[in-house]
Amino acid sequence: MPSSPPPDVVLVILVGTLLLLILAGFITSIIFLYKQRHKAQQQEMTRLQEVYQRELLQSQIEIQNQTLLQIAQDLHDNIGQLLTVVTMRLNTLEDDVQEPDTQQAVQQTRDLVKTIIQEVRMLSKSLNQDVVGRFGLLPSLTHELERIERSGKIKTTLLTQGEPYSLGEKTEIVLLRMAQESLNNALKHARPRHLKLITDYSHDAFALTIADDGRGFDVEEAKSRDLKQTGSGLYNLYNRSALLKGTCTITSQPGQGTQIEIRLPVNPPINGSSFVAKP
Amino acid sequence: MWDTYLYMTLLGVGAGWYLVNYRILTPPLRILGSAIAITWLGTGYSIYIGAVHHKPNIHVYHILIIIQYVLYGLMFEKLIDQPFVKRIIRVSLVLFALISLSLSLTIQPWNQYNSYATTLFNALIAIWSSYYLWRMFVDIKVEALEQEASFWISTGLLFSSLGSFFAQGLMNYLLANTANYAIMVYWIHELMDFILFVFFLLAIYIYLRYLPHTQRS
Repeated sequence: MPSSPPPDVVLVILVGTLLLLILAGFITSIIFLYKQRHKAQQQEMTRLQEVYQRELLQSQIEIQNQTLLQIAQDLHDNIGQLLTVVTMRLNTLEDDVQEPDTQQAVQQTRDLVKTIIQEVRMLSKSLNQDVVGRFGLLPSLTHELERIERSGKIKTTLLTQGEPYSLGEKTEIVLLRMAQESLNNALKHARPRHLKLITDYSHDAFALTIADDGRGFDVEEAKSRDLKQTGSGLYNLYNRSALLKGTCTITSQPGQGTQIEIRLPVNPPINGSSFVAKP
Repeated sequence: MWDTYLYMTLLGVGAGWYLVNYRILTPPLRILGSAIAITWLGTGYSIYIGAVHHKPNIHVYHILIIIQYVLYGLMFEKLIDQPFVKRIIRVSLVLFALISLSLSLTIQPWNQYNSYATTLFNALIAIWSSYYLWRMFVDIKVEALEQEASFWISTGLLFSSLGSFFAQGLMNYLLANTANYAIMVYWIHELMDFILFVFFLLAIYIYLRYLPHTQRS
């Protein structure tokens, strides 16, 4: 009959096993807790990075708005005033000259200067963000399209779906800048004959669509260009959409025009107050 | 005797593995490799004196413990980032050597077991290893704790030093009153030493496993 091990050996084995289990438990729990802390730290760092990027972008937008406001004021105060003086001098000159040919030339020049004054005023309004604050997004977009149509070469259309509501001044300024960027890109690169703006005010989202019938382009190729080749236009659109917690979808193919859709989630109004873009 | 063979085998394998990879080890691991090698040599020498020449060999451990503390202390000094703690460790190296030598010359001479110095050694190692583990946990500098060799080294040292601290504290009482329990505590102490050197082997395995290929040559 095999003899059982002495109680001392059994006790040593039991105590040894217990110590090993304690050690294993200690190691397992410390590794598990560390993984939790590491994960939480990574999430916090990602959040801080996003906050930093958002604040950086907001600062850039603010600087841009301030610069454009300064230009708008300078255009209005300096250039506009000078052109008004030119008009007055031309009026005086028209009264002084006798020859019909010269008088006609002076009249044509005066009309040209008046046109320039109007263009400068429209440009000044376009650059001035206070216009959005005072009149809202739709009138500001209408003003942009009118300015483009004055060239006579491009037809523009503004369609509005749903009952318009305010998205907040800051959001509408950013949307206006994005629309201006998209329209300028179309004019610069696409050579369109027709530009269409569609604003869709639905219950839970706002959508702004800028469409042209121009040359179109390869969107993926444009996104994958390296630093030397690429402009910052597309990048700005995507970033500003993200800043507004929205999305920007660009659809285009060579020869088939371009459509840019900016979609923002909105909070529904409470007790008849205006819609507010979701923070 | 089998425990002595196992102990020496673990020490020898550890010393060999660390020294073979010495060139690609970080400074703390190099110091640890040196500590393992010196422990192996010192223990081997004491076995040689005791088993072959049948002479007292306790004095070897009086010297060995000072060298071990200096090397473990330097290892933690390299691992820990905080300048104030690094300074304290450096001061403790000198103080421990002086205290241990003083004890060897006075209260516990060379022919007696140096339990006071050993207890102080275990207490200090437990403090540095637990501090380092706490800093690793709080600072969250690495992605995965289990992929860090220093984590396994510190855990092994903390466990074995704490266990040895209590074992040493109990030993004198147990030897005087209940010899059976003293033998049990001795075996537990042996087990913790084995665990310590297994953790040292695991540490170098983890280090080599996760070392980038560009640093291996």
